[in-house]
This record gives sequence, C-alpha cells and structure tokens, in this order.
Amino acid sequence: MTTANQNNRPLWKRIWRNKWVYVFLFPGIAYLILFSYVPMYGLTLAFKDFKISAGIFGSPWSDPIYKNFVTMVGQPAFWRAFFNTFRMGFWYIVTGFPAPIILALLLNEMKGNYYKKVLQTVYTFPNFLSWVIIGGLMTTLFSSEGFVNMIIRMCGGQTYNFLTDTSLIRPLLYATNVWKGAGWSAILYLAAMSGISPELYEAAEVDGANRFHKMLYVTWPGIKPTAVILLILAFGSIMNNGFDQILNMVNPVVQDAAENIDTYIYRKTFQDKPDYGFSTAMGLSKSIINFVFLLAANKIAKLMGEGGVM
Amino acid sequence: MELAKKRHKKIEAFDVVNLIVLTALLVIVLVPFYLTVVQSFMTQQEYIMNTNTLWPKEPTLGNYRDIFVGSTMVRSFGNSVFYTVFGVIFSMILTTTLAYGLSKRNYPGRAIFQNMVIFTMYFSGGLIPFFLLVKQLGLINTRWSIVIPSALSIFNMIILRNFFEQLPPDLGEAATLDGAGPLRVFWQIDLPLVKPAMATLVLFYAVGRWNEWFNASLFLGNAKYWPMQLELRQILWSSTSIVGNIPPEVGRPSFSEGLKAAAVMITMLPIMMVYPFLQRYFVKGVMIGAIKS
Repeated sequence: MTTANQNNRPLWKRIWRNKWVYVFLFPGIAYLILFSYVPMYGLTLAFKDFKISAGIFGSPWSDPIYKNFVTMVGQPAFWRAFFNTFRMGFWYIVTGFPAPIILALLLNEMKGNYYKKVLQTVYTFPNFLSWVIIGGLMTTLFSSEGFVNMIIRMCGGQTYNFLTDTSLIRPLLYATNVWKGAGWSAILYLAAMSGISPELYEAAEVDGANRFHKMLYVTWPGIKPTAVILLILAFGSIMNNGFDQILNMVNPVVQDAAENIDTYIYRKTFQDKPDYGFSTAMGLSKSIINFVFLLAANKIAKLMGEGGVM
Repeated sequence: MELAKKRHKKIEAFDVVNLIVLTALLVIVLVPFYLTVVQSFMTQQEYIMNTNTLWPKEPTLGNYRDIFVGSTMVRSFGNSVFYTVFGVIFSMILTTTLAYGLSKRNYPGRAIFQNMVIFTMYFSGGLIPFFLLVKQLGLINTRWSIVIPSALSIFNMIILRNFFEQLPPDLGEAATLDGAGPLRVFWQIDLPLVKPAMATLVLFYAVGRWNEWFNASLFLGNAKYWPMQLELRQILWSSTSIVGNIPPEVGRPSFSEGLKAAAVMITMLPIMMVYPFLQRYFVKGVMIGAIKS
C-alpha cells in the first residue's frame, strides 16, 4: 500500500525522502566509477596510437581503426598464449575441480573428531599464503638441491632440474594449485554434506547399503548442486587462471610453455618496450571473451535450476 | 545398536586405508614447510655440499640475523602492516556503506545502481587502463597506490548486503519513530547486528592485503615503500642465475638459499601465528558466502 503511495509521488520527492540511501551509496559508487568504469573507457586505447604526452584522451585514433588488432593476430606469440590459456584452463579445472570433492568425501568418512579437525586446519592453511611464498616453498622440493632430487640421488639416480623442464612446468602448476586450494574448497563440500539429513543414511542402511553405496546414492546427490555451481563458475573464469601463480613459479627458461594471455600482456607491457595500444587490444579481446564465458556459465546455471550465480 | 556395531566391523579396512591416505596428504602439505624451516637454519656451504636436506648438521641462526641486521625486510614489514591496517579500514568503509545502501528498498534508481555494481564483476577494463589510471591520478610511488586501488571486493560486498537485507526492519522503524536519524539507525542498530559478518570480511581483506605484491610491483619503483611480499619476491628471484620477472636492480646483493628460506619463514610467520586461532572464523565466512550466494 505504502509502496503504491510512494510511487505516485513526484520523483524528486521520492529522491529527497531517500536522500540518506544515496549518501551511503555515494562512496562505493564513486569508487566503482573511478576504478572500474573509467578503465573501461580506457579500453578505447585498443583503437588508438598511444602517446604518453597525450594520455588516453588525447592520443590519436589509429589508422585503420583496427590497426592494433591486426598487429595482435599477426603475432604467433599471441596465438600461442591464447590457445595456451584454454589448454591450461582446461587442465586447471580437470585437476582442481575433483580434488576438493574427493578430499571432502574422504574427510567425511573419517571418525575421530580431533584428528579430523587437525587435518582440516592443516589442509586449508596453504590457501592463505601468497604465491610468492608458495613459490619459495616449492623450490625446496623441486630445485636441483631440493628434496625430490635428494631422494632420486639416494636411489642412485641423477640430479634433475624439474623447474627448467618445459614438459613438467604445467603439471607442476596444476599440482601446486591443488596443493594450495583443495583443502579450502573442500570446506564448501563439507558444509553441503553436513546439511544432508542423517535419516537418509539410516534409511539407506536399512536397505542394506554399504559405505560406497551411501557415498554414491546419498552423499553425492547432497553435494551435487554445490559441485555443479562450482564447475560452472570454474568454466566461467577459465581465462583467469594462474596469473599470480605463473609469475611466481615460472622462470624465463620455461616461460613460453606456461604463457597465457594475462602473463603475455603483462610481459609485453612491463618488460618489453611498452605499446599500450597493442596491449589494450589484447586486454579488450580477453575481456570480451571472458564476458561471454561468464554470461554463458550464468545462463547454464539458471537453466539447470541452480538459480544462477548473480 | 546391532546395526551400528556391524557397520563398525565391516568397514574397518576402509577406515585404515582412509586414515593412511589422509595422513599421507597431511605429510604432503607439511613437507615443503618442514624443508623450508630446515633450509633456513643452513649455511650456504652446507646447502651446496648437502646430501641430506632433512636435518641441518650445524644449525645456524645466521640467516635470521642477516635479515634483521643487514636487509630491508624489517622496513618492508612495517610497510605491510601499514598497508594491511589502512587498506582494511578503507575497504571496510567502502564495502559497508555500499552494502547498506544497496540493501535498502524502494528508492529511485535502485535497479540502476544494482546493475552498475554487478556489471563490474563481469567485465573489466583490464590491466593497462587500470595502470594508466593510477599513474594519471599521481599515485605512483606513493603509499596510497597500494591502499586505494583494488580496495572493493564486490563478492564481499554482496555477502554483507545479504546480511543487511535479512535484518528485521521493525527495529530501525521503531528507532526512527523515537526520533533517531538514519545515521544513528545505521551505526547503533543495524551495524552491531552484522558484526559477525563484518569480522569475517575484515579477515578476508586482511589476508588479501597482507599477500598483495602485484600492484606494489607495478606502482612502487621506490623500494622504500615495498611491502614484505615484494621484498621477499625480490630476494627469492635475485640470486638465481635465471633472472626473474622483475628486472634486477644494479648493486643488489645476491642471497644465500638459507637466507631465502628464512625470508619465506618470516613473511609467513604472521599468518601462521594468527591462523590456528582464526581458522574457524574463516570457515564460517566461506560457509555464509556459500549459502547466501
């Protein structure tokens, strides 16, 4: 009733009545305009020849307007980074998605509350460390003086430098990604499992189900919605994997094998001679593809009845 | 009773295997930490000669001493504390006010603001325009380049907004009738009710700020302002024959492997010390996040 009343009032009166709401909104909205929307405008650089003295506004449009994109598609290194993004993104999901599910299932089957708590605490800890630190930690395992090589030597083998092997660097990234994140993601599944009614398990037992039957027919259906949402989210951000990790774990010897669009843009801009227009063209292409992936992911989630992500 | 007993017997083999597997995973998580601790107590000679990385033969505190005396780690620790404290305060002000504003209903323009905020989760200007913006704002090589940009997490904001939305409106309305202004309702009634959620967000933001190094590497050429993570990164990548992503600075010393490990330990220590006590709050945080979104 009151709503209808309010809606009949003139707009400025309704705005004035709610003036405090706008006061609260102001800092956040202003911040987003400055740090999210102004950079979106900055994407016009993709169509410009950037001159430092002229800035984003003053730089002239390039001729032809798609010049930077022509340069982009003419670069074999761009295509390598482009396809590598999807290849690595795919393997990040294949390794990173099931790991926490398996971990949560195993933890869920465990008895003895105290040790279980200890395990959970330790498993989740790496998630709170930066990739800078994890890069340092992993060197103690894989460097030529490291732990793995010590074992190899003890078994009579030769020292091997894992960190400079182009065929090993990507699996190493996937493995350390699981090492860092699986424990934390497992918590989501454990939360979903704790919501499953014990009566379902009891009923299954009466029907003669063993532990694996229960896992398959009671636990899994209980966590499936969570799994579906996380899988869709993972596909939606397939282009955003590994930037921080790669910058901290990949050395220049094997750099090309683990290059994705983000790291390529970064290196092109901040290590080579910067060409901001060209770099922004790559950034814009990435943002658009990423946007499409996210929309698709959200749409699929809605179609599957999971309510979407947003 | 009988059923439970039977079940207990039948699955013993699985329980044992499960226990072994989970303990093996525990070891896998812990081994890199252990090795780093050991390495941090080693001299460079021992590290090079080493045939056994499991125990230092002549443990030395020299690496830690070198860090506290000869390097810039202490200064960068101070910087990181500064960035974490002021960064979290700034982030929380933005997050709380925006979440509160968006949680209100029936004001003109609500849908526009909602969509405007959500859209930034889907689409971004990317690295280059962001970098040029910060540069144009004159923030480069100031501490504010670390505190101000990347301060608002929309994901965190939505969690908090959902909490505000679920507050019963009666309390605020009653207070308003008693003559309390909107600011007072916010500060004295609504805010205390979402304190647990805010505490969790403070933790998330604090960890993010503590671990931040990328913006610092873009915006801070002057090592005086570096946070600990960037300092550590420079140490880790410096003395390897392979030069890292950051161009090496002329005249920077190379570091022994033991000192690198000690630097990792010291950077990790603050999180290691608070984590066991705060772990359950983090877990609570991820659960409310999961349930609400």
